[in-house]
Amino acid sequence: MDVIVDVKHHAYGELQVLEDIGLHVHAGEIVAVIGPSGCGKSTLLGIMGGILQATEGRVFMEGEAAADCLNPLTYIFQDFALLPWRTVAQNVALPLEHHRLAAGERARRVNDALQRTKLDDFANALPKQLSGGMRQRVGIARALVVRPAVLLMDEPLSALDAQTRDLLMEDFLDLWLRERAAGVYVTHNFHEALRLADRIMVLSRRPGRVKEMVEIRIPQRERTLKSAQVELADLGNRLWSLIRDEASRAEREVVDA
Amino acid sequence: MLEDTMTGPVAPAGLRPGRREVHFRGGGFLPTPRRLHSWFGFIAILGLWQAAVSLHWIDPVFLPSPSSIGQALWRLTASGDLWRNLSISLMRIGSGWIIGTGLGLIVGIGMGLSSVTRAVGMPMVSAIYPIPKIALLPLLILWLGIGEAPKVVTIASGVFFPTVIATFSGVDSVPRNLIRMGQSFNMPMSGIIWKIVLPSALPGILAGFRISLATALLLVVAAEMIGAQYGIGAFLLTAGNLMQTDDLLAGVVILSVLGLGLGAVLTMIEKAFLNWR
Repeated sequence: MDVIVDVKHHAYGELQVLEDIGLHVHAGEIVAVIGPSGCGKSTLLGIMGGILQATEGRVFMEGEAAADCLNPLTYIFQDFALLPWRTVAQNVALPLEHHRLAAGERARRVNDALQRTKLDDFANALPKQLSGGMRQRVGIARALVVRPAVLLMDEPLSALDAQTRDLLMEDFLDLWLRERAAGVYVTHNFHEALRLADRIMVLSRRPGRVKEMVEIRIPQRERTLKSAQVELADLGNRLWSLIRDEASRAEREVVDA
Repeated sequence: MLEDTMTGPVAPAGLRPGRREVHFRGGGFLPTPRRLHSWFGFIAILGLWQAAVSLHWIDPVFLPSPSSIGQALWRLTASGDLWRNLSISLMRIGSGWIIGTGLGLIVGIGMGLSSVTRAVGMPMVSAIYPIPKIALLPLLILWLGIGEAPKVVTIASGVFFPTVIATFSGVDSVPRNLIRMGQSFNMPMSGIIWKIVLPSALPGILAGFRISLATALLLVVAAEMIGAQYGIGAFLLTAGNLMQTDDLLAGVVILSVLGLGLGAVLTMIEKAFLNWR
């Protein structure tokens, strides 16, 4: 299933946040969205997920999701958004509870999601008993349980320490490549964008416009190889050159405000 | 002998000129349970009190000794007076609290979820909440007659407002990201309310219950003092009028135990439902 974004503009009152955003996310493709702070990355993701309504513009889904998909556009939240009174398994089961599924099918989906995110030993733990990385795994399992067609991720690793982030990113990528769900990945982190994405959409400072779409031709599995490092470093430099002036101007805007 | 990686063996810290030990300064400010101290303090005060009365430092007519209060309690229990008055007060508290809390929950949830209900309800709640509800009892007697109804309604109205405010605050402070999470999975409105909003608001609601129970206890005594033949409040008033201070203080002890008991029940409920915190 593809997702097509056509946002003419979006504003919070007088504040223009997004302008002329056109994006076509193809089935199985991962698009990272980067840009300076406050450029509207999370707003764009909210609009794509139907959680925010664009002031002017629309989002379309094209093609059919798989038959077992219960929620084609599925979010993974930066702050995990877990229900602290529910166990891991109960949190993962939450999105299934309003669907008419046989008890066996529900249990199968939950167990499968827990296994794939390596959480099967923690099914009965409460979120407070888990580390940040484990909590985000629960967030990922909860997203996988509905067999999504497109994953929408709002800086899913930013609340984690650097080591946990790297570990989880590799697991995340493995999962993703197996699932072949499409994804939109909002991040500040070039390293994450270069590791995960097929394309990187660079937004300008507020109001966010598409400044450039950078394509990464190296397959994700080969990006840790030595041979890929020079090209990835070049891409990183290019991204930084695209964003540096915008970021520093956005920073000055915050100081002047 | 200590080893210094730069200079080899070193003398103990105290012997080297210019070297000072860093003293621990991080203690205190940590609440530590001291159950024994609580009991000791309680028993010490009772002992002092008993001694003061026994040694005639205090006139027992004005302040009877703990042992006299204990005897009065025993007498009231044996004669059935205690249960007669207590059961009626409990019935009034129970009825008033259930009605007031039930309505308070409905209105509080409504105000937390609906902007219209909030706009209509908030000014009214703010205006009526500060009125001492016992002041309405004469009016309620006029409307509802002399019977159980005005007392129960007084308690219900006293319980209603703290419940509304606690419930509204609890619902209003549910993290919005949890609601957005529910919406992102297409959860129906009812599912979001039952599975996300209410459990999330529960700590605030239970805190409101604690306040409303104390209010109910206060109001039952006041209402029974104004217009009742039986009940702990009526019993206290009669004992006071007859200068039976041992009976009067026995009634006060019963109220204290009742308050502690109700508080303990709430603590158990909190432990059962809020173990995730």
